[in-house]
Amino acid sequence: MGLYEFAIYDMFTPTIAIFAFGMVYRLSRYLFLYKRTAQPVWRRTSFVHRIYILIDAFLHAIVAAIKRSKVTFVTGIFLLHLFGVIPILFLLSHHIAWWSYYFPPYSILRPFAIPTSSTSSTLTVTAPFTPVTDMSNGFVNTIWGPLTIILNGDVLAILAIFGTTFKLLERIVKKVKERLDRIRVGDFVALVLLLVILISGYLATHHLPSNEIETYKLMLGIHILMAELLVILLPFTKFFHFVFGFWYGKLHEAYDLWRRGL
Amino acid sequence: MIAVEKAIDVVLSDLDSVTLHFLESCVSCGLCVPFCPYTVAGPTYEPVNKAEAMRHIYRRKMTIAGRILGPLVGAKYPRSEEDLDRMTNMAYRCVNCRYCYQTCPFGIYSGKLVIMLRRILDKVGRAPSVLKYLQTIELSDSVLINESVRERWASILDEARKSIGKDLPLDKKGADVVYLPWLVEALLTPEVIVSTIKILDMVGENWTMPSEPLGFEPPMGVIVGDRDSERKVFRRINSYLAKVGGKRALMSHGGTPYMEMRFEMPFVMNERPPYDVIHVTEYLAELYEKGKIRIRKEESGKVTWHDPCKLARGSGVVEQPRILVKASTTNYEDLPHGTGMYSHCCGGGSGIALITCDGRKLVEEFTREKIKPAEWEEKICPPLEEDYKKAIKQKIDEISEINANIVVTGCSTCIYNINKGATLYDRDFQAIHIVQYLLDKIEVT
Repeated sequence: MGLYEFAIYDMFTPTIAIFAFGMVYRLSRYLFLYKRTAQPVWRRTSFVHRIYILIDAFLHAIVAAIKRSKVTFVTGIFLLHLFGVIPILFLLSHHIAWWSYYFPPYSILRPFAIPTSSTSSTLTVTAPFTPVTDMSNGFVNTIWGPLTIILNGDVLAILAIFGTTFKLLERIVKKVKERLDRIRVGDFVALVLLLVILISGYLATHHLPSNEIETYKLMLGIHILMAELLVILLPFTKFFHFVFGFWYGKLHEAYDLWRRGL
Repeated sequence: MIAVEKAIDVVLSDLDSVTLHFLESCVSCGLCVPFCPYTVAGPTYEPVNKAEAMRHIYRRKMTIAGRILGPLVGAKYPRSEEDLDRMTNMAYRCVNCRYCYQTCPFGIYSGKLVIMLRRILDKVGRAPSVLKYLQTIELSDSVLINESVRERWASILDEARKSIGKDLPLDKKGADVVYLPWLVEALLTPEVIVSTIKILDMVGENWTMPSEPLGFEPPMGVIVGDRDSERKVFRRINSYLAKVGGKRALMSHGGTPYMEMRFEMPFVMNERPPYDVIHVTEYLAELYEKGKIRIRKEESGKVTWHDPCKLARGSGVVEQPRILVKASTTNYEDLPHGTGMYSHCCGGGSGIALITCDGRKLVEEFTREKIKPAEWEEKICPPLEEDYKKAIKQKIDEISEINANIVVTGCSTCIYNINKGATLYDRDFQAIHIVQYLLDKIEVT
């Protein structure tokens, strides 16, 4: 049995089981530590203002980053998250097919699928059409229209790889040069794992480094297995921010701002 | 003094789910870094790095990986004197201004974790001697601990009496407004107490005030990291207000006491006080909007409002002072680097200004008592002094950017730090409290 079969057939169930256990463990800690206390008198603000604050709570750190941390914004927020991992993970056509297989309602997002590349490819889920030009390639017809030139798996993956590599190197430099406590071993594990997933996914999609089926299966096997490792580690590492920390933190912050009337 | 591990046990025993989130959800993105007033002191003092010191302790105590793998996963206790020095340096380079909280993409309040560090340090005898001394004053039966302090307080009350031409309604029962001046104001801005009294008298308020302050800058426990003393001081204040039957507790100091009493006391005491807590800017804005006072608009040099972090970001008082100050001048401009929720802190709050050499001298002159620093403080204070100067310079530079002549604000600590910075860096502006600023501009209708 090869790595691909192992990742697909043997590791899927244990991955979900460990993930579920981890989530229950982490969330139960929050529940057990919840303490109900008296509340201060809330400042009066309108319902509309509270909705604005709720939305703003999710956005103001990003706006602050644009103003004062441009490098972090471009590499960490934009390349790595908003224009890299998030659209690839949830909207890349291959991933939509995967999500839909395990969770059929997900297929509702099919019209928003992002193709592998802007040029035609048998790997895309949308039908290619031939433009009325003398170019040799057809173009993929997606709901994204001309945006497909940038909203495609190749571009997004390269940007995400760039963002992840930058963050990795930045952390190495900070750890070595400034000896910062805040740069943790877990940061390197998470970023290296993400990088391996991105690179192996890119190589598998393009049948690289060679066009043989065994190489393809090996790359795809690495990609899936590392993704499963990420899911296993998710509840126990910084990846937890993606499923819980970010949402809890921002909702709590909005609640706190409501209280203070900000 | 107790052992480090015991101190850690005590501090982590009252962990709640929100603090758990602060401890566990940081991804070390560093977005808080440019906003902290102490980042200028070096990368060690970035908010996320200071909070990491508490996370080391938390992981060692409360996570399975931390217990098994220890330092490999960033889990360790401070073991040596050097470790404690480092931890103390971090804990006292945070003004708890909440800017890190506001700019964190995960809503993590690193300052709260720094308070936890202070709590551990206090339990192992590592709270700065000046703050401990002031905390002791606050916990004594009377904060007017000696002749010097009593004289200063008496002179403030005398001046207030003269300015209104009658006796002060001290400890009067059944007043609508109970003015709560603190001893820190008597130390840093005594004229603010007199001005507030004049305004209360001028507007014909049914008011009272305690015959002596109910605390130095209560609760000092939150500044040094002593939860029990916080409760004790809150209880004293609550029982005074219950005794006089006040409906509204009014403060002129918009620093720690206002935010703590307005928003944190219910959590600490687990009960909601039966009175409202208001800052003098809220009080005056209310009178202004109801048409009970008018504010004379004058041509003046450039005037700006500095949002004290505890008053604005910590308590939501943002619009009221602007209404008042804008009504008073034709030449108002907001500070350029952010206002309200995004105001840059003065750099000297949460006790930091007082533990510098000048701060210590100021307290010693005020009380005419010598405060002997602990041995470890001798090493820690000189670099802190330098970092404090760098931190306040950022505010000073921001004010200079708009060429403001008058910086109006609502917190005695901010006034002290801004004026100190203006002198230190030879700038031509002055910080002044809003009640002083408005005193001769208010007309009662």
